[in-house]
Amino acid sequence: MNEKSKILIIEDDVDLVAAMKKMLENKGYEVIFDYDPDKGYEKLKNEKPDMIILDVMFGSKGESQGFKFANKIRTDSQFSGTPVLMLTAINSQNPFFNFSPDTDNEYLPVDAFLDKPVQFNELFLKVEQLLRQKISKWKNWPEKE
Amino acid sequence: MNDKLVPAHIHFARWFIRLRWFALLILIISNFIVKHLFNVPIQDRPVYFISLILLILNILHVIILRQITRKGGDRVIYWIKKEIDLQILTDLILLTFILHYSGGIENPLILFYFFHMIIASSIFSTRKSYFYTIFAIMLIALLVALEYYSVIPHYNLTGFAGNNLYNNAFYIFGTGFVFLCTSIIIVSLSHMIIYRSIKSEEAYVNANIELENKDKLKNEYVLRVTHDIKGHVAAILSCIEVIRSGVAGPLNEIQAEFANRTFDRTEMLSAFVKNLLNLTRKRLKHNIEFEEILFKDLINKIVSPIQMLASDRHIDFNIYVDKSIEKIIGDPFTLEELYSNLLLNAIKYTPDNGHISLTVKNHHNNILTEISDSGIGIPKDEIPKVFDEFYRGTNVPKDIKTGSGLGLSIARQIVENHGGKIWVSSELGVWTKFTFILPRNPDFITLEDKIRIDQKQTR
Repeated sequence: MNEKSKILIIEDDVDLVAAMKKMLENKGYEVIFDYDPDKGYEKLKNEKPDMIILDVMFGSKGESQGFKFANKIRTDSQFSGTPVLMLTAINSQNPFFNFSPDTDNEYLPVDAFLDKPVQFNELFLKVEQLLRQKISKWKNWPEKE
Repeated sequence: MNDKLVPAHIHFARWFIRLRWFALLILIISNFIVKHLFNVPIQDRPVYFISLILLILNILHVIILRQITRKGGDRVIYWIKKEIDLQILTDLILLTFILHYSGGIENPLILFYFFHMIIASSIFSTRKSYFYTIFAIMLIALLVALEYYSVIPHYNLTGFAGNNLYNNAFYIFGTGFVFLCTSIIIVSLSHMIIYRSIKSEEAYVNANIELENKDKLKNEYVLRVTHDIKGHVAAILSCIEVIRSGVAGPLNEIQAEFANRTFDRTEMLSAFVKNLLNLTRKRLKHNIEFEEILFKDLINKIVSPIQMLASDRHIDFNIYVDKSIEKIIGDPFTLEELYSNLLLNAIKYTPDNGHISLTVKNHHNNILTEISDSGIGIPKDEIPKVFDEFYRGTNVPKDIKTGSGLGLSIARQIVENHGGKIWVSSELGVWTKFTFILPRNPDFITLEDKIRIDQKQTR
């Protein structure tokens, strides 16, 4: 890799963003971020990152801004190929939805999941893997891969 | 409300049948003694014959009751009440025949009618209780009248009661009057007492429903709070990691030590919060989906990681699973969690070179599992508290890292969500055994099975 890979973090927890940014920069990535998914979408257009780390971001009513964001970029031809790593507590069964990343992937077009609290070793592994993969497996979503 | 009273009705009907076996025995013995030892000229053959009918009827009652409870469904109470009706009616008629062959109104056996009045007024409405009372009185009146007018013969209890009392209108009238008054008092008294107890049972059921609602609110509150805490803890962990890993600059020895301490402690807090969330979600029955599981698959999945852990510490791991157990209906994830949870616990508190075992057997239509170990045991006075939240054994050595104190609460919640029951027995310093019983199909538990589970020993 000649040029630094660029990662966009969209996550509303300020401190978690700061920690991930620092750790990823230390690994040699360029990190941009936004706490707000709508503004994050603008950043996506301007900066064209190589991959996105996206939080589920459950609102008080149980709807997920992260889901919306994921669906939005998959139907946007410009970014439909950008890999997405989703931060979630799905594995420990979120009360608001019945969902398993193993079986219900087709409803949520992201490439990998990472459980919170973030284990950085796992984060690095998954980031490397998605950057190597380059193009999301859900490029042609909603068709299957 | 009715649903919660079901077992009481069944117990009642069963107890009634059991009492009848006893009465039958007494009837035969006393018939024999009165006839042959006291030489009172009662008609023993007809009485033996009636005893035989009573015996057959009682067997029939047992069969009918079993059919009703096996079938289950919404109409169970209705059918059990009908069965008790049948029991009372046949009893009253047979009793009248026995009375006829053993001296009619001269025989104090006449008091036996009161039992049925008490039973009827305990279960049935006021109207029906008085109906049975009137029915009983009419049967007696009919018997006495027929004997009085010599339509049927009267059998004297020579040597026991004064002769020809049956022919003494004054005696008949007096006895009849006392009998009538006593009947009315008995029915109204027992009806009132039972009515009050039903009222208090209703109040109890309502209080329980209210408690359940309050408990749900509490759990929802805990869920929300814990969820928030979890987010904070996750952020703290990530931030400490930046320092601890040296990414923010090199640390000296003491800084590194305290960064590590903070990290470890926060990780413990994180695990605790995760367990609390897990337990609370199970309490609120979030995400429970029952499906058919092959029991063999379930066991295979949990056994191998446990086997590895056990062999690392030279712990002998014995498994016995009854081969006839094929399928169970339940939530696969939480059942796996239940088995692993208890087996991990067994390993954790068992010293090296000890042994643990897993036994799964049939228990009627339910599945009974025992998980035992040769570990440190549980002090006797702590056994009732083992499944409480945040319980930790006082005899656990300092070097065993205790968890959140929620593992066994989670286990109990899983068992209860499946309609089962869990309990523990132990000898301090020697062994511990967890036993739980799960219905094969939690969506369809027959009354028989429910009673079996409820009555299964709990300590």
